Amino acid sequence: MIDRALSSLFKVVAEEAASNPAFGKKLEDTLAKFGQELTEKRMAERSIENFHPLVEYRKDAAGFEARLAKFDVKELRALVDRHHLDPAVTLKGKGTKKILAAHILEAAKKRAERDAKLFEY
Amino acid sequence: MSPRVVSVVNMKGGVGKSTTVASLAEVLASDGMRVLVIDLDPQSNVSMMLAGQDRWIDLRKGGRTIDEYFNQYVYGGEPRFFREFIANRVSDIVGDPQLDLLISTPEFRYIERHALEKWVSQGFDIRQLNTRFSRLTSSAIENVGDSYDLVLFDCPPGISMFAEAAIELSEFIVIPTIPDYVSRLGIFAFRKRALRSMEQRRFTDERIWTLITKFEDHNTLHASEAAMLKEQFHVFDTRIPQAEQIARAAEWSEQKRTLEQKYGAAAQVIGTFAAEFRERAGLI
Repeated sequence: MIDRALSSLFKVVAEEAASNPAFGKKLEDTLAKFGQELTEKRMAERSIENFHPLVEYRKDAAGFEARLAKFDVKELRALVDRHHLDPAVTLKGKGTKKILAAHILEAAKKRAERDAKLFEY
Repeated sequence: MSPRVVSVVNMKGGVGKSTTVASLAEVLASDGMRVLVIDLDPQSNVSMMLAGQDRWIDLRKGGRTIDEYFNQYVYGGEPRFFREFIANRVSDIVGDPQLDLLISTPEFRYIERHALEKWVSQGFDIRQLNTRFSRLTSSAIENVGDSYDLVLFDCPPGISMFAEAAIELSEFIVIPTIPDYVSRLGIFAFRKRALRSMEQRRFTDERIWTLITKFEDHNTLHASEAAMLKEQFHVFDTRIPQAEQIARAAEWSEQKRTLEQKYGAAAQVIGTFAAEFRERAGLI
């Protein structure tokens, strides 16, 4: 049922885009913008895939900040999302590179301290 | 030759302890290994999963349960050998693998309480009681040791005196864990106790293994927590996925079936886990 409904809907949109250049252009722009944002998001996710901030901090706390500095804003944001480093949503998905890096550093430090206590449970 | 003794344990419930025991036992027994599963959990899940409800009822009626085995030490009575309590060749897997089982029943939860009441009133302290539970469990295993390559204890959530005894007897401990915060806390809560037991026997924490269960590939929290677990503990490379077929496999089948028919697509990952377990436990 849903497949037929969607086919009908897309057929209407496709016909309108072909016969109405203004609508077609608007559609192209929207798709291009969405595509670009999605590509950037995926690229950021891929580049942080093997970097676990909490693990990396435990390995080398002193060099952690320098390693964080190699990431751009999108990558830092992806790190925060992936590892749930902003549970109270204080960053609201925003923040400069400096703010994000400081936030991740603080979160990793606190987590390492908490986990060290857990080992003494 | 003595069997390898392994406890599957986690303070937290619902992490897949019984499922891990049942599937691991079935794969290894299908591979020709002689496996004994001892159910220490009054919920009796692994008993039902491996023997099926009808056989479980028959065994219970016949007094061939873990509670009856320990009962004779608490209340006295005609002594019976441990091997008399064991149900032979349970499991619904084809090929009649040697997978034996000592079932548990809901009454098992009272035995520990009664034993404590009785022995404490006789003047035993908690340390002596612990030793007593350990000796009883140890002599039980000795009684059947030559018949098995592997003894698997399915421990209840939390730490009972019986679970403590099993841990003290185990050469290896497997901690199934869902990769999330609460489940990770369960490991910390239990790890120290397990480590102490290992160190008393001059073993190290390299014998305490975490198994990631109910893993969801596209769940970023799971990916993040799994990486953290790997950093903090000794973790199996194999991760058991969250799979409907694994949950379905819990229900015993009247008709014998292959591992593939029972576990579906998950049969492969369970096989990989069993192979990794064999290698780590030196059961080659």
